[in-house]
Amino acid sequence: MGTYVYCVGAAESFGTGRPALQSTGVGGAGTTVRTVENGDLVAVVSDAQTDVYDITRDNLMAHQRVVEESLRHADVLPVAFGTVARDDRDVREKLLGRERDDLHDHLAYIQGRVELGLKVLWNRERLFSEIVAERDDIRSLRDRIASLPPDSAYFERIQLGELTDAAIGEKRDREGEVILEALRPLAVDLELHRPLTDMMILNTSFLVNRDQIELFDALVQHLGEIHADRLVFQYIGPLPVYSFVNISVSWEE
Amino acid sequence: MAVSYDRAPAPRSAVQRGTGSGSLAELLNIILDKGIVIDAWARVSVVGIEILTIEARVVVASVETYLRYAEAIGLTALASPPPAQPALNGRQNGRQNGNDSDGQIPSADDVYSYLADHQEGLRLGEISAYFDAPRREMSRVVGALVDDGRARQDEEQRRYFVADEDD
Repeated sequence: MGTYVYCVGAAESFGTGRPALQSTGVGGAGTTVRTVENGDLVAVVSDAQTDVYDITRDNLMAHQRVVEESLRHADVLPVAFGTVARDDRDVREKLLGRERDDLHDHLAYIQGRVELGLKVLWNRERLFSEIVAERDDIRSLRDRIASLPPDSAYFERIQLGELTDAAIGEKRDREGEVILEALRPLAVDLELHRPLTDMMILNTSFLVNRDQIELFDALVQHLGEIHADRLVFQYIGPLPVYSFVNISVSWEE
Repeated sequence: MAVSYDRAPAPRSAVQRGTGSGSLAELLNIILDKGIVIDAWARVSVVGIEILTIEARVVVASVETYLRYAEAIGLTALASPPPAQPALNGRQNGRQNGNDSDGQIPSADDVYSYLADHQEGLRLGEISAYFDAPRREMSRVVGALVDDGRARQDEEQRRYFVADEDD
């Protein structure tokens, strides 16, 4: 039986006689969440019933809830989903012990800060009519194809698609940059993730000081209203700072 | 800031707000491979359905994508008026659908294909209006189609239909 690891924080911010975490751990009812300590660092863990956890909704939710609850006690460094150590001792020695300096550096960097996630997507129909309106070459090729019998003009249609693909790419860069430009001054750091669909303009995580969250919210709200009829903003947070932790550890040796 | 598990009501504002555990799908790409990553001993087995769904939607430029875009662009023609086309006025553009080039009277084939597009049937007046041709002349063209067995008229409703294939 191993030890499932959720996150790492400073022992002092969890307080002495640490508050028991209420959330149920990954693995279902009865999985108690507890902590493992080494010096001034703490790992939030639970007993693992297996080495390998499937990526199911229940498991992911359980992981996320524990990390979010921990975040209410302290600034924590989240551990990727599904991480199982051989036992508490490995957590104490190989994670909290061996990586101490790196963990401290990261904790200092994220202190008082949270992650906010923002995805911005086009309204599909709006996007295509905007492209037709903005691009003479695409509009005239479209009109030419429309005058030909259906099911002919195969290569013209591929060419139209290619032009459109390039136009979407340019539009994404341009519009994404405008939105980032507006938000950047309020963020300490940002991380661009790959767009997940072709309608996605931005898939971004921002590192934001807690006392700036309200401003950041208001700005996102404002941007959303400006573009209300053409863009969708998916905004989540505050999140554990997943995107701003860059520590790779091995249990080996 | 209040943490709310509810999405903001959609129509009023375009911003959908959620927390991590409230909108897991939005979070998947970071929760799985960001944060402290520890290898060896054990990591996740990738049997997750949700992540596969998301990955499948990742953009891959391909002929299929291009054809899909071409279709989407083509559909905009229906939604927005064609910008370069002057309004119908008088003789210049009197015949919107450009059937035959000049005579006022459309050919039997043009009328036939127009009828074929309207399985619910058409009155003579509708056909005349569409082709912008005198009623009397249209009656002659449609009558010829009926005589040839390519069209039929419902006596009661006074509508014309294309004849059934197997007649």
